Amino acid sequence: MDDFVAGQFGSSDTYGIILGYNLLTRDNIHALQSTGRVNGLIVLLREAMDAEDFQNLYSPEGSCPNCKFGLYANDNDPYIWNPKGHDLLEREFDIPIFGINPVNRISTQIYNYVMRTVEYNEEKGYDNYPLQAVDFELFMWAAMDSETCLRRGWCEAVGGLSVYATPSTDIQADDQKSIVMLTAGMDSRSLFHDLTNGAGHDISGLVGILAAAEALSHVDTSNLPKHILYTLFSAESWGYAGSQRFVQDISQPFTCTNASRAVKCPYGSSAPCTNPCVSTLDFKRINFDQIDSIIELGPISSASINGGYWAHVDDIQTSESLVTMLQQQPSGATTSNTTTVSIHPAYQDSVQRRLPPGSSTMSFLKQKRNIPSVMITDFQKELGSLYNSDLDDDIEGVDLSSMCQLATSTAKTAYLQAQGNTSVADQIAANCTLVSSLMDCLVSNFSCSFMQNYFNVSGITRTSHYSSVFSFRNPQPQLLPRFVFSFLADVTRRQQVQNPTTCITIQDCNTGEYCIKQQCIQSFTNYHEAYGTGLAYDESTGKVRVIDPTKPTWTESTWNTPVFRTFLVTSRAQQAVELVVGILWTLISIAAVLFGKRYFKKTFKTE
Amino acid sequence: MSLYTFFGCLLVAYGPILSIFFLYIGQNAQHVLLMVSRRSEAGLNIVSANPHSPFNQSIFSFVTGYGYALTTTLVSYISLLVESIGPGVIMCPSCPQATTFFISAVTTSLFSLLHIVWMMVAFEGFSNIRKPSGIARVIWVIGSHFGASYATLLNGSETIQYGCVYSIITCIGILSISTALVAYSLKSRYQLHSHPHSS
Repeated sequence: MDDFVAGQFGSSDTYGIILGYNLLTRDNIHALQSTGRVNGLIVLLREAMDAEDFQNLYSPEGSCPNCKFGLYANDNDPYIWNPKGHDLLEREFDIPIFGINPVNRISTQIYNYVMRTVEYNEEKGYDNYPLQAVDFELFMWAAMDSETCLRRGWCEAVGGLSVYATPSTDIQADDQKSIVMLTAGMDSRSLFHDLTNGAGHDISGLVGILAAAEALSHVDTSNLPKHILYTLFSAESWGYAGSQRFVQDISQPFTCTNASRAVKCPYGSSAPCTNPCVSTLDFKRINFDQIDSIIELGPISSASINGGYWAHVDDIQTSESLVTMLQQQPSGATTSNTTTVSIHPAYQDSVQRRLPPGSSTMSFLKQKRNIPSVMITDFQKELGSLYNSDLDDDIEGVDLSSMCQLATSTAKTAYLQAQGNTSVADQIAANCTLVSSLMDCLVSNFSCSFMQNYFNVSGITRTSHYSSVFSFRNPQPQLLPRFVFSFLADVTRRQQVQNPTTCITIQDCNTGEYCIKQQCIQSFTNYHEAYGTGLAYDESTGKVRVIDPTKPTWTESTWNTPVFRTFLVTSRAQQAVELVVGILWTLISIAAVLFGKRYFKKTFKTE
Repeated sequence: MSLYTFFGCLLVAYGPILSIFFLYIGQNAQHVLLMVSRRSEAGLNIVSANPHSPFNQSIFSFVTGYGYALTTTLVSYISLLVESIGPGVIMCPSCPQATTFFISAVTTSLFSLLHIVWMMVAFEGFSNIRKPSGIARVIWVIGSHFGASYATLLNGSETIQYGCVYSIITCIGILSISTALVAYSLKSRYQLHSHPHSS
């Protein structure tokens, strides 16, 4: 690549460059762009990279991701969590950048095809025409900023649907009972949104919470002195949109005006309120002031690399006891060859770094700082080289048994924190097979056999965990929130005396019931809208506006279908020759015709 | 810039056709009529400047041949030519250094001339069909037509090196022989025609 930049490579024409993800740094991109001879990049991801490319990898994120929307935005000297990050994700590039990860049939076909064209060029020394060429089309409409773009109708709000559930199906805002929260983020972010996986970043934490919820479903959690609430937030990578909006909605009074709307409320006639349009008012039954403690699971896939798990807190005094309780839980590892994984306080080296980026807890603490809360991650001081990277899709390196132990500890702590019986707590254990299935299904094969219990799905292996845009006219949950909803509804279902009725779709059940795993069940499980709190949907005009630029206002541009195509080209010189030959031949024909006319006129003048 | 290729191939393929049209046919309305409607010979003979000139048949066959050449070359090459506006090329299988666009343009150009000449030979042949020379002319037109068409198969052949060169040489050869036939018959008609006056 240095030869190319120095101009000692190939012809002086423009090239499309194929490179591995490890070479995608600010300096390299800048160097390539400034040659003026690069028309686009095709980046190869994990399955197309060699083993040695994985050394010296750094995260493409900035040095403190989402810090300006977090709890410590106004601090003088915030801790820098990702000092070696490439800071690529919010850059503007002059050339199109495409990515290929050959993980399924069609991407492998395209990858093989692209590599064949490069090999063809390589054999010809990159300058012996005809050569394979490539052109890119990657047009996005967006202009300037979110406010302008929304006004012009060229953007949509980034967002999705968060999921919350509790086994206390009769929870009310005024029942004087505190709430213990277990929370994680559901989405991730990377350079190529179609390929965003986030196996370590968000899926591992999500799986931990789901496994803890399943472990707790085997004991009675609906009659404890405190409620246990599971919250999984969407669009957290975009300024904590999901958790901030949730906190905003449960701590502010809700007024239903039922005023006129530009577009029909998508939730139909059964919506409890049409302006503002909401699908359920169940979120009003969650009293923010009753939140008593929060346990959050962040990236937890690599415990063994960093010496176990680390518990991060905002304020040591407030949350110390919660950390201690977590540390004390025996993690239920009974086999002799699995070492017990330990949870260390992240501040045990006397450096208080406070909550790391990605923490949904911050949104709650912003409202009320003294809630005891802990975020558990597999790192102590730095976010790691795969943070928000397109290479965060590896399931081989995941430490599943540690995750399972952590899920058990988390479940036990939540149970005890809700003042459950100690002897019952000892029986709580996460299902390690479930942890393994969940990771496999959500990271690499959504059509796995475990998923068939919930959905009749086939042919889908990987799904993108980018939260995508929130549609106000037809809000639909993406596959991951849809699965999380079904899973949580099942494990938090109201216990019924008689056998539940079987069903195939929700229409087969009574109102207020869901059809999960072919059974009609009742459950306090709901979706909640997630999009930046700096944005507001004006129901009377049907448009999204920016109401507070200091809060997250992320939008996604509308785009034309991205295309790149490859084809053979001949050299400039050969094309010029073809033109010259054509001109010459035409001139010869003109001369021949003129000559012929004159000759025949002269010769046959006697006619 | 692929527009070089487009204009280059356009001029190669349609150079003769364009020059003949603008410099000869377009200047006489009757020729334009004959070009598009081949059955109008009898009527045009009546209204022509020299109704009894023996050269009328040659002129008519030339123009009719030109009309035929125009339609066949347009139909056979124009879609390939439009493809050349795009950025990519296809290399000729038997001559990998040249593009299919260019080789086809050369073939098209040769065929346009061939069609004109074949039509002239055919007119000669059919108007003298009872004589052996007439039959021979007709057989030549049909036979060499097949020969030229089969020769173009060499363009696309992957096993014969430089097949495109053989194909072009064959077509040029057939064109030369046919042109010689036309020149011979024109000459004999000239001698026939001018003989009464030269005495």
